[in-house]
Parts: sequence; C-alpha cells; structure tokens
Amino acid sequence: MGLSFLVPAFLLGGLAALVPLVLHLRRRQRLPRLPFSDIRFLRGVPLEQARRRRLREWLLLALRVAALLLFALAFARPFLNDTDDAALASQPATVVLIDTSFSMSAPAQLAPTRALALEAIDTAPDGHLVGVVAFDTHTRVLAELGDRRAVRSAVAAVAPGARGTRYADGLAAAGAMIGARDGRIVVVTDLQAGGWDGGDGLVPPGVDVIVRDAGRPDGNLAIVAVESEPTETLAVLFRAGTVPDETTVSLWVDDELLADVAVTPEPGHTTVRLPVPLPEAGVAIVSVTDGVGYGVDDRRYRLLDPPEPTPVLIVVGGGVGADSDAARDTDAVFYLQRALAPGESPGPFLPQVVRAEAYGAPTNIELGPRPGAVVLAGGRGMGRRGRERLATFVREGGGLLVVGGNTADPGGLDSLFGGEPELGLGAPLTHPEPVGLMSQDPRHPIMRGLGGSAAALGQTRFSRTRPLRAGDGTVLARFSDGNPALVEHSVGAGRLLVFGADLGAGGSDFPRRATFVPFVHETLTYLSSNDTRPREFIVGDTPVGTVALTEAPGVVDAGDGRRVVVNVDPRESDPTAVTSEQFVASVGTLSQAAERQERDAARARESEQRLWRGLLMLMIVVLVAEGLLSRRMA
Amino acid sequence: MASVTGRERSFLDPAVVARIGSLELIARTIVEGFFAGLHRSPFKGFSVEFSEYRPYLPGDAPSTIDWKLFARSDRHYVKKFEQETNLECHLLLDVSASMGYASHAVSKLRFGVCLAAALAYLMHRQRDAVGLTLFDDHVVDSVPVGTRGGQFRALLAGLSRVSPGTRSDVQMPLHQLAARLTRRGLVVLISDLLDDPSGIIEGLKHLRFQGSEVLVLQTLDPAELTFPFDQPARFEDLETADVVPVVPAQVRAHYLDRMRSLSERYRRELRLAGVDYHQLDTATPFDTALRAYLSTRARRW
Repeated sequence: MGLSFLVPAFLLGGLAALVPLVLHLRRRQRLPRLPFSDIRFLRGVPLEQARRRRLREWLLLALRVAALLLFALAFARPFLNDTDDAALASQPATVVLIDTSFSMSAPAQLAPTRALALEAIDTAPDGHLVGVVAFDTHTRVLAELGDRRAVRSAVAAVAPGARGTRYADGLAAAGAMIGARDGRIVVVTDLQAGGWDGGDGLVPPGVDVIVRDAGRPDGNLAIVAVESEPTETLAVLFRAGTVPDETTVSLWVDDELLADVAVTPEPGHTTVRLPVPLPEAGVAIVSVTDGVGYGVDDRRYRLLDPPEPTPVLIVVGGGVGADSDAARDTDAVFYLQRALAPGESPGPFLPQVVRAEAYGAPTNIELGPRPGAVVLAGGRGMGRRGRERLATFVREGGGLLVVGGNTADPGGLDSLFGGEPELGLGAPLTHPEPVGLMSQDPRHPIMRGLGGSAAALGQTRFSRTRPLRAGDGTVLARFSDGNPALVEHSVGAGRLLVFGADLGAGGSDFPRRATFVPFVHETLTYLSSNDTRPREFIVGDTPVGTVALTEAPGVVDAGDGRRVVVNVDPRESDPTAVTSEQFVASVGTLSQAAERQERDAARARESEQRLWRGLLMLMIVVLVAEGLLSRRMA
Repeated sequence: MASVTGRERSFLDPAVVARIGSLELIARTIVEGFFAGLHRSPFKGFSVEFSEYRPYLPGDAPSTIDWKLFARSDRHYVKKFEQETNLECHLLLDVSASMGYASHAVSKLRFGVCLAAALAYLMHRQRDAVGLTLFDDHVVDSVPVGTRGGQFRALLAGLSRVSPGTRSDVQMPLHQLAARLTRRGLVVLISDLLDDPSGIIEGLKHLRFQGSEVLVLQTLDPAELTFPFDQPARFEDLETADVVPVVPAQVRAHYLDRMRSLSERYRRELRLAGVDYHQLDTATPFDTALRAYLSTRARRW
C-alpha cells in the first residue's frame, strides 16, 4: 500500500515539529548559570539516573514532535493507494485509439485499420501496458490496459459504424486510460479534417500522440439534405474526390419509387431537382448510387407526417359557472380555446381544460399526455397536491402562464413555489379610464414573434387589472399606467409567465382584438419550447429517453407512439484529411484536466478511507502520554 | 539554658547585624546583645569586668579580696575572674571563594567576619590574647596574638580588608599554625570546610597534638544545607569555575545525602579527636556560635 496525500501542502506544517526540537536544544544550551560554592556533590549523580532522565527527555521530545507530525499528517488528508494500482500507475502504457466513424467504412479501409491497430499493439515499447479504445462521436473501451497478447483479440471486434468523428472525445478517453503514467496514444484513423469540429484534442502531460493513417476512399457521394417544394423535391448532393461521371438520385416514399434522376455531380454541393412534390405523410428516402465512397450516407430520410400538436392544459378555478367570477374565468377559457384551436383542422396546440380540483386529485385520469405548457386561468380550489404537481412540472422544464383572472388566488399562487419567486398578484384594480398594453422588451421571443402586432397591443383596453410584483423577474409588457402586465420568472429548468389581467372579455377587449391569437400562440410557443420534440436526429446524437437508441440511419419508433427519422452526420461525408503532422499539432496537453481528474479520484479515495480521523485519535493519545510523562518528570 | 528575647535576638540576627557598617559596632552589638540575654547564663563567670563573688578561702591572695564589698558587708569576698586568664586565642577565618557564596543577604564570608569580630571582641573583653589568620589556599593576612591596647582594632582592621579569595586549602594554615604554636591555646576555625575532609581533620588533629583546644565552626549557607533549587541550571563552582548542568529535582537527594555524610564524618572524627565541632548556617543567630565558644572555653579553662 502506498501513502498519498490529498492536501500535501499541509505537510509543511510538519516543520512545526522542529519547534520543540529547537526549543529543546536551545533550552539545553541556555540553562542559566548559577554560582555555587562547591559542585563536587552535584557531579556525583548516578549515571544511570541521568541517562534515564535524558531518555525521558528524548521520549518527551519524541512525543511532542510526533503529536505535531500527526497533526500535520491529518490535515494533509492521507490515503492509501492500492499497491497494484500504484505499481500499474508507474508503468507506462500505450493506448491504441481506433477511429470507427463511418468515414472509416469505405470498402478498402477495414482491413488496413485492423492491421495498423495490431501493429501498434505488437510494436508497443517493452514494459508498456497496452489498451484499445474505439471512438467516433462516442468512445468505447475495447480492452483495458494489460498484456498485449490479451488485447489483440479486441481488435477483431473493431467495425465502423454510422456515427461521426470526434477526435477530442477519443483522445480524452485514451488519455484518461493512461492517467498519470507516461505513455503514448497510437491513433488509427483516416485523418478526416471534420473530426476536429468537436473540439481540440487534449492529452495528459507526458503522453505522445502517434498517428497511423488507415487511408480513405478516392471519392464519395452523399445526399446531405432533402427539401420540399410545392411542385418538386430538392435534394442536395455532395461530391468529394473522384467519382464516376454520372450517377442516379432516386426519391422513394414508403418504399415506392416516385422519381429517378440521372445526375452529373459537381465537386462540392449540387442541388438535384426531383420532379415530384413530397406527399403530406409517410417517410421519404432520397438515395444516390455511389460505388466508391461510404455507403451509409447514400440515403437521406425525411419524415413527412404532420407534426403533433403541443398539448396545452388550461386549469380553471373551482365552481365553474357557480358565481360571476367563475363565470368570467369560463369566459377566458372559451377565448383561450378558440385562440389555440381556431378551426376544424388541428392546429399547433391541443388545448385541454381541467378544473383546479381535478388537477390536484390523487389520480389524474382526466389529464392526458404531459402538456407542453399549462395555463392557470384560475387557481381557486387547487389543493396542495395540485400546487405541488404544478410546481414540479415547472421546475422540471415546463412552461406555466398564470392569468390574473377573477378566481386567481394570490396567496395560493405565492405559495406555489414556496415564495421563490413571489408573484405578488394583488387584488383587482378597476380603471375608470381603461389602460392599454405596451411591449417592454421587443427582443424577447414573444414580442419578436408578434412582429408588427406588438405595436397593436397598445390599442387594447383593460378596465380591470391586477397589480404584479416584478421582483427578480423580467417585465415583458406593462399597462399604460406603468404597472407590470407580463412578467417572466425562471423557476428551476422551467419558465413562468404572469399576466396581470383576465383573458376573458369581461375586463377588457383583448380577446376580441386581432393581436390576441398571435399573443396567445407566441406565448405558449415560448412556454412549450422546452418541450418541443424533434422528429429528425443524427446517428449518435439520439437523446436517450426520448427516442430509442439506434446505430444506423432509418426510421425508428420514438417510444411514445411517434416515429422519427435518423440520418448520418453530413459533415462526416467529406473525406478531406489533414496530415499526420497537422493532426499531432492539433493535440494539446491537458495538464489541468488531468490534474483535476487525479484530484477527484484522490479525494474520493481519501473520503472513503478517512485516515485523518485515526491520525487525530492517535495524536490525542500521544498528547495524553506526553502529559503523563511530563507530569511525572516534573 | 539561656533564653534570648526577641529584641535581643534581633541584634544577633545575621541579616540585621550585616546591615551595620562598623565592624566594631557589629562586634559590640553581638556580644552585648548576647550577654543581655544571659540572665541565667552559666557563662556569666567569664565576664572580666565583674561577674561573681565567692567567699574568701584560705590560700587566696589577699589582693583578690574586694574591699569595697567588705566595707559594705563586713565579709570577705573574692572576684573570681578578675585576673587575666593568659589564654592565647587564634582565630582562623577561611576567605576562600566558596565562602563568598550567599543565597540571601549574608554571605558565609560576611557571617564569618562578623562572627570573628564578635569573638575577638569577647576575647578582648576577657583580656585573652587574640590573633587572626585569614587564608584561602595560602595565608592571606594575619594579626599576631597579642593583648596590647590596639590589638582589637588591629584585628578589626584585618577583618575589614577581607574579600573572597581563591581556592581553599584549610589544612595548610592548620599545619602552619600547629608548627608555630609554642604554648597551649584555643584555636577557632571558621570555615565552610568544603575541602578535602581528610586533610582538614589531619590538620585539626595536629593542633590537638600540640595541646591546643580547637573549636570548629563550620559555616554554611542555608541553600547548601537544603538545596532548595527547582529549575535546571548550570551550576558554576565559585572556586574552580567548573560548570555542571544540573536538574535539581534529580540531584537533590543525592546532594543532601552527600552533605549529611560529610557533616557526619566531621562530627564523628572530630569528636574522637577532641575537637568541638559546630555547624552553623548563615541564617542562624550569632548566639549559637558564641555559646559554642563559651562552652568550649568553660570546659577547658
């Protein structure tokens, strides 16, 4: 077991142990001179006793020094390293880093890649441990550091995928495997220039980077984009290097060939016009015939299904229709529903109205799928459970619009987030002279989305408003009397907007104004933007939990009834390479990160062992012994 | 035994006496203070002025009869000690460096000087012939024995010049004095006796062999008798300047044991040699020393 220290600087405190030593020696030398008539009888002290005394003095000194050293040691936070770890940590290592991005998937690349990897393993310097790491946009350890014969078999499992290249991640993983050792990283790659787009490569100090070029195809053709036009379909064809003079671009929708065009690809990007529009549903595939380059980028998928409307939950106060206030809230809900679903055809929002009591019920049977945003048109009747559910929804990234309606419960709203933020919704104010609405921040996404309609907000007339307290929030709009009208707060990962008036027709003419629908749409679009679910992904970027992982392009089930398409990264289709020297020059030394990583590991180990407690206990024991001994000597 | 009152004792306290500047006054103060306390003293007969009468006995010289008393009482009385004793007293005072040690106001040397002055005064009052020898490792100064009028002042002059000398060699003056003595006398040695005890005892025996009575007043400091030190220090020998580091707590028992052994040896061997030995510390009132002297003198003469 080796001993290391988390805060070795505290070991300097051990110098304090010199203090009693120096004092001891100085005290010995600086004994006062005392004249005495005759010292004959003082000299005759038995030698044994003097020796014992000296021995005790030295023992006392040793105890004092030990106490100080233990104190310093405890503060230095020692911990034990595993001997094997320590021994291995001192042994140099070679990590073979193999590029498995799809730019390594050309027909003639796999064999040289494996051969170069095996050669790198076999030619690793004597005494080096050897490990194998594969990388593309992700990294995978194929073989931990060990004997080179053991890791050779890992190379057989190397196969290119459909992901892009990210050298930075690969080098970081290889550097982490080497850790604090001296060593080297042998990168087997096609040296694709686009691999550096993910960031600079950084390796720990003392690590050399060696490049083995696996080669690249002479040329490549790829479909990198598909766009729909009313009468035709546009496909963007990318050409790199040397390819056949003529190729074919085809359009397929749900396995049915709709168009077939012969193309002479130009270097770089070429727009190919396919003479049929894309249908409104189904999955379109545009493909190109490529006999020399990578295979996975020859097809591009496009989902044609209309986007799913965003569910919007409108929570209305209790006792709908039971009194005039509740009736006015019902009025607001009516206008909100009409604004969100204006026609027969489904719009971008799917409004659902739920009573406050139901929202707080133990079972939320009435509630549909997770809403993109919630509009709290009235909070009266919402119980503690409902408030907690709403607060959790916002904190986890949801959007909430609080309408200062007639059944708004200021106390309940302030307690919604435990007073942070404090909404400060006051009692309704009646304005004999109606007030207008003015945009306060034209650059805000809501106001920017309104465009020219933002100016028309001033024409609205509000005869009844509620005062708001902006606090730490941002005032997006004000009433013409200067009071905040729309205030935004950040709550956890979510967004909270508070509107200081009713959205019904009772207190204003806002619902009947042309700006109402755009205002509601932009507001709810903004609030639900965190919940926007993308329908197209890149291989490797597929978010876990939203869409099932896939390592190949195509159409996949998102897991929530939706289907999404996954394409390859178009940047990966360009085989343009850098030189080995340029590659090595792009790699920097990661001193700080390596130190941080090492420090984190040391801190975790020290926290687990907590040797400092034992040292402090030992120090106390030593001090007790010192006290007893010094008392005895006194 | 005589009792000494508090006021009288203050005149015998070395710390009080040492503050008096005149050595003669010191001697007078000590002796007068001593005698003032001896109301029932067995030593009153030693006063040369007047102390005691006894009835005239046949054979007494008629000149010894106190005729004034005869005139008042019509009886014949004789002054017992009116006549000179014709005793030779030799005061030997050790002035070596070790005698300069003092743990309080009075050093051993100062104590010895005061004591010697007091004894000289007392002897002078008794019309004894008194001489003085000051020595360390050699005879520093000496005043020959005499009874002339200025003898006492000569003694005081010798004592007033005393200062701590060098190393002590007590046996040397003892042998020199023994060789010089032509008649029996009284030798009073005032010294701390922190020297080779065998040599000292031999010297004293030599004196005894010559027929002299010897009174040894070993003068020690209270610190030498109790070793009250508690802090470690480097103890420096006043005579040799040698230094030894000492932890008092560790050496105290050993030191006191050695000191007790030394004293016991002096006491035992000097008693066998017929030498009166008294150990004094410098905080002890002078009456103890005077009592010792008078006791010795009374026993011999």
